[in-house]
Amino acid sequence: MNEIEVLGVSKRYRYAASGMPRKLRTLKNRGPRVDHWALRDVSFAVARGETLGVIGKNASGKSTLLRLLAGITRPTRGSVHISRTVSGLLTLGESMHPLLSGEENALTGAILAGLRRAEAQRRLLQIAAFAELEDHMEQPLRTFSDGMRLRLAFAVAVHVDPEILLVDEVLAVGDMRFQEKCFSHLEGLQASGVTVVVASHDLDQIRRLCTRTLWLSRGRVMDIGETDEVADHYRQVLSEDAPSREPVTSGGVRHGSGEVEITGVRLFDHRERETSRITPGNPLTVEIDFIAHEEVPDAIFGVSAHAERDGVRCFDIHTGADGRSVGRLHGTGRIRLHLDRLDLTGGIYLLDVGIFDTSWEQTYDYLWQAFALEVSGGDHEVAVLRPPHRWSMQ
Amino acid sequence: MSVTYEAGDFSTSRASNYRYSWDLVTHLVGREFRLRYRRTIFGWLWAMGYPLARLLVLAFLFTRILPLGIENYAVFAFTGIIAWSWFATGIASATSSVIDRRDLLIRPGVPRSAVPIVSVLTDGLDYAAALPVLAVFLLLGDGIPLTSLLLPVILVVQLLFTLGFGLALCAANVYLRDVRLLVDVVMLLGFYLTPVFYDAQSVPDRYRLVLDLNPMAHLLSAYRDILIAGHAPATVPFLVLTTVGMAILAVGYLIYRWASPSFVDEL
Repeated sequence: MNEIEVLGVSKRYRYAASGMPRKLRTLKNRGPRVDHWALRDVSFAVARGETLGVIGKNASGKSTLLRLLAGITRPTRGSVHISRTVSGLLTLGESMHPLLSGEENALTGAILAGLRRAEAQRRLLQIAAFAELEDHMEQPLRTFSDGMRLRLAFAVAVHVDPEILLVDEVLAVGDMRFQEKCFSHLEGLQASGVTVVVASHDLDQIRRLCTRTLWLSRGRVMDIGETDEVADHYRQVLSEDAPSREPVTSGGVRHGSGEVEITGVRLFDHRERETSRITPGNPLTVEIDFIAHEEVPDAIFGVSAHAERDGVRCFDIHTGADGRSVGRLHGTGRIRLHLDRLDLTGGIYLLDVGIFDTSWEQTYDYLWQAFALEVSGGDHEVAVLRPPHRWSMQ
Repeated sequence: MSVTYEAGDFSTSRASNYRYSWDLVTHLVGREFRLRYRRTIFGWLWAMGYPLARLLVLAFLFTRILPLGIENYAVFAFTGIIAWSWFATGIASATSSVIDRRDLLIRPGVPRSAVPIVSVLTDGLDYAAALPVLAVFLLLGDGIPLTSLLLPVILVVQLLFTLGFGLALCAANVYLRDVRLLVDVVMLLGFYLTPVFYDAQSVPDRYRLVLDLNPMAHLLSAYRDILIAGHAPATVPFLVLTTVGMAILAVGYLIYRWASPSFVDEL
């Protein structure tokens, strides 16, 4: 039984070509107008309980497709048929207000997502527990860090008994451990029969969650079928293709113009084992996989870290300051940053990874809080540094 | 529950669930009202500040400088000021509501008409907050007449007009941002063309038509009938007014409903 049926859907956005006031234009019924077809003749179906992935570059029509499924906007041609109630993780936390408490914001979020007020009230504890914010719910949202806000927004969105859940690039929430929790929760929803549509340009996420995948390119369906086949096909074409310079816009956690894209970030300990946890004073290697969609003569790679507990920036290392040129980039590549010893106190540190042009005027890709590094030991640390030390009595 | 979105079609998945819509609207109204006076020392007491300041100016002008000879002028003018303020701010905030609250439009299943409705009702709470002041003025004068109990009826009729105009103007404003600015100008004119601070009786006959076509003029006289004169408004004209109000709301809603599916594309 099909939960979602999309038949011959096209979506046109129409812009005024210049700054000409709309009214004058329509009154006189002339003047330049630009049509942009975000989707062209898209058809597919999703069965109840199935998870469909939607992949494609930025501006390929993924978000427009999700908006159509959500009923936020109407198709210009064709029809969309939906058999149950749609909930969406299309944007996170947009309706939140900094002056209201975490609890009030969660309540509003849950009601907007479709719960009756009493039901929303009942779930507050559950939401706070999932977001790991039990001790903060009374405080105004302005005291929350960005990570805490996103965690709260995500927790609200997934605790409203969705029947059909639309997810748009929002799985990059918080640190690695929290992302893992979000994934497990989504998998729980899948198991309980929720129909899910996930749009993402992260193929690993798609592979993990989706049995079937739809690939969009410039608003048209390029391929649909088994995730592995479609993903391989996509990868292959992507590496041959020189993509256009379209800006990457996916919320506050990732931004950049996309000429060079970060495709993976991994951490290794001193024994070259992949890890997310080290002991103080040990070395750490940060490995960054990237793909240069078009040839770039040189670039700056940067890795910075801040402490999760208070946001204190611990280091900000980049090839620019080190006077290193990485040379010409084209196609896929990998770079490693070796930190010979990391004298941080125990706690969680969030790593940001970025690729910039050499004049710092352009960000190619920047992943904010791409990775959470746990440094073991020290429960009650207030400082950041733990230099190698010894005591001697004189 | 099943929906099909055809090209050009309108439907919102939860709009027909009235109990949900009620929860949604009341919650958002409460939230907006609390936010309006958040982190202020006097809180919602500020809702009285604006009408009182207006009253002060008008009372000084028209009892000391140009006496209009209206009995118990404070009550007379204050009744008009708070009702007019709700009408004017309600329409103005409804007009820009959809642009201000884009975040609500991109929520699947949130009924779109909730957005201007929340704006108008939130402004209605400012009216409610000023009622204690009105009560004090009445008690200082001839007391509160029993017909004051009819106040909710008149408020509902005013709500019909405010929402009707608000919904239509809101839809128009999405396509043409001049509308919001035009509303401000018209409301400024409207304040003087409505017997807020003068008596409708003193308007010369040849200008009567302006008042007759102005729903707020009729509503203000109804307010003054029940709050000051102590009698119910004349039944037939009031029923006519109510019918016109319902018609305006219906037209406003239909315009809004017709325009709202493409709001998100235009914002």
